[in-house]
Amino acid sequence: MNNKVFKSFKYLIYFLPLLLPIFVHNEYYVHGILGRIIIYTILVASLDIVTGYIGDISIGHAGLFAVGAYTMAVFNSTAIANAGGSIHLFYEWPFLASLVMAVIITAIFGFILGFPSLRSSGPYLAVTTIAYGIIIYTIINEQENLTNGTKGIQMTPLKIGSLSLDGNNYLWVIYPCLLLVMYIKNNLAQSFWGRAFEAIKFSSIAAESCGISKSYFKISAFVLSAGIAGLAGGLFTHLDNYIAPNTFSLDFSILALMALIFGGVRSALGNIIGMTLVVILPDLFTWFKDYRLMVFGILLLLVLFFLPNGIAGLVRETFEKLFPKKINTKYDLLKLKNIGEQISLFDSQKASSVTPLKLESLEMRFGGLVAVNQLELVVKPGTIHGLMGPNGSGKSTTINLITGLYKPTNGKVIIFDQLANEVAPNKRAGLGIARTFQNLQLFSDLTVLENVLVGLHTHYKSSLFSILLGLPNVQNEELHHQAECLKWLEFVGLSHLALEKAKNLAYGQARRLEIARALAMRPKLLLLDEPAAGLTTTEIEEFNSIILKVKEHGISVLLIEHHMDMIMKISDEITVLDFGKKIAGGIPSVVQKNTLVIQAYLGSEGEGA
Amino acid sequence: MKHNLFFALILCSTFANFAKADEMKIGVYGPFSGGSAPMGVSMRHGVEIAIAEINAAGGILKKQIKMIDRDDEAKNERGGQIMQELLEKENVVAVLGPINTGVADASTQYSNKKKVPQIINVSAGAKVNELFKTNPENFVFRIAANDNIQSKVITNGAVKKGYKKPALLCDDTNYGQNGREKMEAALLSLGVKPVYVGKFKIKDTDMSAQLQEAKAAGADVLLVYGIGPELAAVSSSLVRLDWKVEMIGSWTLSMSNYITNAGKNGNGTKMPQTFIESAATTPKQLKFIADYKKKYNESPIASAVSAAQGYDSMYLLKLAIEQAKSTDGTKIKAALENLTAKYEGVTGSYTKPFSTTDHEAIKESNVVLGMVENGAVVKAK
Amino acid sequence: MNQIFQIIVSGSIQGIIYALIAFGYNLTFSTSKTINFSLGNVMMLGGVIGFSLYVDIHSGNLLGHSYLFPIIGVLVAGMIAGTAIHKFAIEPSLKLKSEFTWVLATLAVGIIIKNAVEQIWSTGDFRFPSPLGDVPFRIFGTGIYPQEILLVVVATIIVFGVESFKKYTIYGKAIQAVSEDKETASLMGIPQHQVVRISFILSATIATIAGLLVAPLTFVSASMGSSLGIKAYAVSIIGGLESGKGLVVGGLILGISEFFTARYISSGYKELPGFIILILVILIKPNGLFGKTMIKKV
Repeated sequence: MNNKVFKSFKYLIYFLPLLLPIFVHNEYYVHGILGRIIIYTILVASLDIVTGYIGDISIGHAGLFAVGAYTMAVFNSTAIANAGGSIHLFYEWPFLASLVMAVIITAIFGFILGFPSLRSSGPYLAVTTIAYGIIIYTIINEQENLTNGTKGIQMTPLKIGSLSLDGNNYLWVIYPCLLLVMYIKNNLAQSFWGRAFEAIKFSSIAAESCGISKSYFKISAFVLSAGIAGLAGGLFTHLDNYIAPNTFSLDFSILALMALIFGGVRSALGNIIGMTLVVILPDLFTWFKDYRLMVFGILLLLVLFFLPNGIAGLVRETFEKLFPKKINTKYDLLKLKNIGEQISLFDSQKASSVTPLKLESLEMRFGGLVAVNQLELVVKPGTIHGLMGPNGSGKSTTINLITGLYKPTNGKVIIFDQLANEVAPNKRAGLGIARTFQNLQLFSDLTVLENVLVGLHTHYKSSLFSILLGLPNVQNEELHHQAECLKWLEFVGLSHLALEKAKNLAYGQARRLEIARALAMRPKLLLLDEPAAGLTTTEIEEFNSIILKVKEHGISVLLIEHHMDMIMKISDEITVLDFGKKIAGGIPSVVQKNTLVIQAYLGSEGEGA
Repeated sequence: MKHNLFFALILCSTFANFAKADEMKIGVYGPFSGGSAPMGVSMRHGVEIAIAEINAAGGILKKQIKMIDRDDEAKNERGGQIMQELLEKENVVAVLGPINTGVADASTQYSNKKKVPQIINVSAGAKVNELFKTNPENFVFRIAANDNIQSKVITNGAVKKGYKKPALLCDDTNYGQNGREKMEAALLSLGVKPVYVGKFKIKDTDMSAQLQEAKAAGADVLLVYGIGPELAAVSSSLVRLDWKVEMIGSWTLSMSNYITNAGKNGNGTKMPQTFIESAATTPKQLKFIADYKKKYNESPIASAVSAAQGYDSMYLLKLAIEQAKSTDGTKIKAALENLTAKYEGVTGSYTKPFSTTDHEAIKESNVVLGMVENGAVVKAK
Repeated sequence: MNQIFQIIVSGSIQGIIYALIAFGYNLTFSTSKTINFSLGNVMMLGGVIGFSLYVDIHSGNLLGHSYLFPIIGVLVAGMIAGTAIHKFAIEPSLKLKSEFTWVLATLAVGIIIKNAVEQIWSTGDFRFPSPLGDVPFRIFGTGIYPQEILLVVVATIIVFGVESFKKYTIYGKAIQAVSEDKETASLMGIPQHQVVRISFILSATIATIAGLLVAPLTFVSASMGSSLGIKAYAVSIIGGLESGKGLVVGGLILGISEFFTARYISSGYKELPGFIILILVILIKPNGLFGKTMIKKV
C-alpha cells in the first residue's frame, strides 16, 4: 500500500515543473533556459531513436527541426506580424492544428531520409544526412515565397482564449510534450520494436533471419524520429516568436549530436542532461570569455574518453553501485517463472507430414565459379538431416540460398511446399524456418533474455499505436513472451544467465543462446550452421542432446557440419558435398563407407577432430 | 534527479551574481567569434573605450559602469537566450548591440517586454521604427545608418553619375537580402530598374559566374551589399573577368577586411559612411583613433564604423541616464527620446537624435559617400 | 562559349581543391575506417601559419623573406597536427570501439583548433598575396591566376606521389595491407598502430599544404576550412572513400556543378546539385562511384 502511494507520488513529481510559471516570474530561468532545454531535448530524443537505437549517425537533424519549425510558422503565423515580407498567403491555422501538421510534414521528410540508410552506413550515411540538412537549409533560404527567405518569420505570441501562453507560461505547452515524447520513446524502447531496432544495429542479417524487415523498421525509425523532430521544431517557433534560416545550420545538427553523446544514448535522463549542459555551458562559461568554445571542445573530448556511456552512464553506474539490489528491476524473473508454468513449449509446432525442405537442381554461380551445382536435397519431416563436406564445398552457399541471402541462378528452393526462390530473407521466418550462424551473430549489447525475445518477434500482435501509448494489453503480451523466452533459456540451460549481456557469454553459451533464439521463433525446420565449431567435446555432447530433444518435439533439423563425429552420431540422413556437387547421400552408416566421401575428407585433410 | 541537478546549476550560476551597489551593469552582445567577429569585437572595443573614459571620470550617477558582454556567435537563437540572461539574470540597465540583423530581430522583443532600452549600434537591417506598430512603447533605438538610408545614398550616388543599368549583387544573409530589397525600392523611386539581381554566399571566393551574368545583361554599375571578405572577392573576380565597372555598396566596404583584401582592386569603390577613419578631423575623432590603437594595438581598426558607433552608443546612453537621473528603463527611454544635451561624437554631432516616433539617430544627412583609395577610405569626389 | 570555358576552368580548379583535401580523408579512412572531421580546420591551420610566416598581418605587406619559410612552417605544422590528432582523438577512440566516438572526437578537435586560431591569431579575413603574383593571365579571354596553375600542379604531384608511395614502398604496402584486412596485417607483423599514425601525419600534412596553396585564392581566416572541409568530405564519398580516381571525378562533379548552377540557375542554389548527386550516388552505389563493395561473411 505504502509502496503504491510512493509510486503515484513519484509520477506526481514529473508534473511539478508545471507549477514553475506560477511561482517564478524571472523569464531567464524558466522560459529562456528551461524552455530551450525542453525543446532541444525533444530534438535530441528524436536523434536518439536513429543514432542510439538504429546506430546510424545523423548530422542532419537540424534540417528536420527546420521543416517542423517552418511548417508551424507558415501555417500558424499571421500576415500582420510579417508585413513587408515575401509570403503572401498565411493560413493562420490554430496552434494545435499547425503542430500536428508540423509533425506530419516532417515525418514525410524523414521517410525520404530513411532510404539511403538502407544500404549505406557509417561515414557514407553521415554525409548523406549532412547533405540532406544542407539541401533543406538552402531551400528554406531561397524559397522566399514559401519561407520569407533570410528575413525569417515573425510569430504572434501564443494565446488561448485570454490565457497568454507566452513567456514562462509556454512551459505549459512544451513540458507536456516533453513528457509525452519521453513516455513514447520509453515504451518504444521496451517493446519488440525497440529490440528490433537494436537487433538491426548489431546484426542486420540475424535480425532478418528472425523475421525483422530491415527496410520496414529502419524507415519507420526515421519517420518516427522525424515526426518527433518536427514536434520540437514546431514548438521552437514560438520560443522566441521568430525564426530565420541561419538557426538551422550544420552547427546545430552537430550540437544536437554532441548533446546526445554527452548525455548518453538510449536514455531519457541522458538526453536531458546532455542538452542541459549544452544550453547552460555557454552561460556558465562566460568567465572563459572568448575561449569558451575551446574549453567546450576539451570537455567534450574528456567526456568521450572517460565516460564512454555519457553522463547518464556515469549516473547509472553510480546508482547501481549505491543500490546494488535495484539493478534488475526491469525484469522480475520470479514472476516470469510463475507465468511460465502455464506455457508449454513446442505447442504450436506439431509435426506435420509436409516436407520441410526440398532443393531441386539448385545452382549458384558467382561469375565463372559454380559454388553449388545441381544440388538435390530433401529434408524429411521430423528428421535430422546432415549436410557435410570439406571447406569450400558449398555448404555455406547452400544455407545462404535456403535462407534467402542469395538468389539461386537456377533451380528451386521449396520450403514446406512453397516455392521460396523469391521470398525475402525476413519473410522466410514466416514459412517456418529458423537458423543459427557459423560466425556468431548475437545482439551483443542486449541481455540474453532480450536476444531470445527478438526471436519471438513475429509472434507479437500489438500495434505500434498501442505500444507507443503503453496500453495494458501490450504489457501483458510482453510479460507472456518474456516468460516463454525464459523457458527457452531453461531448455538450453541458460536461464541463470538471463539478465547477462550477450557479449559477456562464454563461447559455448553463446552457441546455445543462438539455438534458443532460433527456437523462440517456433520454427518447424531448424537450420544449424556449423554449431559445433570451436566447442569442446563435452560441450558437443550437451549440444547433441539439445538437438535430439528438439527433434523429439517433431521439429526437423538441417545440420550443416564439418565435424564428422557429431554429424554421424545424430543425423538420420546425410548429404555430402564436394566442390558444390552432391557426392553421396543416405543414412550415416552407408555414407561413412562411401569411397568418394572418404577421399574427399581423408584425401584432403582427414577427419575433423 | 534531473530536477536536483537543474536547481543545483541554477544555484551555482546565481551565486556568482550579486551586483555591487555602486555598480551599473550595461549589457553588450554581438559576435565575438566566427565570421562576423571583426565587427562584433570592434564594436565591443569601442564600448570599452567609452566605459573606461566614463569610469575614469567618475562613472554615471556616481556609479561605475560594468560591461557584461556575451558572444552570440551570430546565431539568432543564442541572441534570444543572451538577451534574457542580460535582462533577467544580470539585470542590466540597458543593452548595446548586436551586429547581425537576424540576431537583433530574434532578441529585441525581450527589451520591449522587460522595458529596458536597447541601442542597436551596428545592425543596419534590424527592425527599429517598425516595432512601433506592435509596441507603441518602443525601447529599441539605433545609432547606425539603416538599410533605408544606405540604399538611398548608394542608389542616388549611382544615378547621379548617370548610370542607368545597375546590377545588384548581395550576399544571401538577412543583411544582404534586406539591402537588396531596399535598393530595389530606392531604384524604383528613381525610375531605374536593375538589369541583374544576383547573390553570393558567405565565404564564397569566386563570383565570376554571377558577374558574367551581370556583364552579359549589360550592367554599367555594380551595386553590392554584403560584408568585407566576400565583397573583396567580388573585386578580384572583376579583375579575373577583366571587367572595369564602378562598384558602390554597403558601408562594410570600408572595413579593413575589404580594403586590405581587395588591395588595389578595391580602389574607387564607394560606400556610405558615418565615420571615415582616415578623414578624421575633429579632436574627438583623432583621440578615439589614438586610444583605440594604444589599447588594442590595431591600426587600421578592423571595423572602424562599428567601433565608432559602439563608442557613441555608450555616450548617448550615459547622457540619457544622467538626464533621467535614474536607472529605470522607462525613464531612460524618455530621456533618450528627448535628449537635451548636445553630443559631439565620433560619428558626428547629435542634437536630439531620437524622438517619440523616430528611434533612428542617423539620418540621411549624417551619411556621406566614402571611397577607397590606396588602402584607406577618403571622401568620395 | 567563352563563358562556358570560364565556368569549366573555375569549376575544375574548385574541384581540384576539394579533391586535394578529400585525399586527406581517404588516406586516414583506409587505415582507420574513420573520417577526420577536423581536417578542414587543419587545412585552415596551414593557411594561417603560412600567412603568419609570409605576410605582416597589420599592413598586409610581405615580411620579405623567402617562400621557403611558410613551406617549411606548414610541413612542420601538418606533422605536429597529425600526430596530435592521432594521439588525442583517434587513438583513444579506436580503443573504445564505439561507432560515434571518433565522429565527435574529431569534431571537438576541429572546434578547438578553430577557436584557438580565432583567439590567438585573429577573427578577421586576410589576403594572402600569391608568390607568383596576383595578375591573371588570359587564355581565350578566360582569366586564370598563376596560383591556380601552381595548385593544380602541386595537387597532381601529391596525389600521384602518395599513390606511388603506397604502391611501391614497403610503408605504402603496409598501409594498403592494413586497409584491406586489419587482423591479417597485424598477424603478418605490420605495426598497425604505427601505420595509422603515419597515415594521419601524412593526411594532416597534405591538408596544411592545401591550406597554403588555397589561401591566395580565398582568404585566410579561422573559418576558411569549415565549408571546404564538408564539401571535400562529400567529394571523397561521391568518389568512393578508397579510390584515387573517384576523388578527381567527385571533385570535378561538385566544383563544376556549383559554377554552372550559379551561372544558369541561381547562386543561392549552387550547392544543391552537388549534394543531390551525392544522395543519388549513395542510393544507387552505397560505397560511392568507385568504391569497393564489402562482403560480410556470415
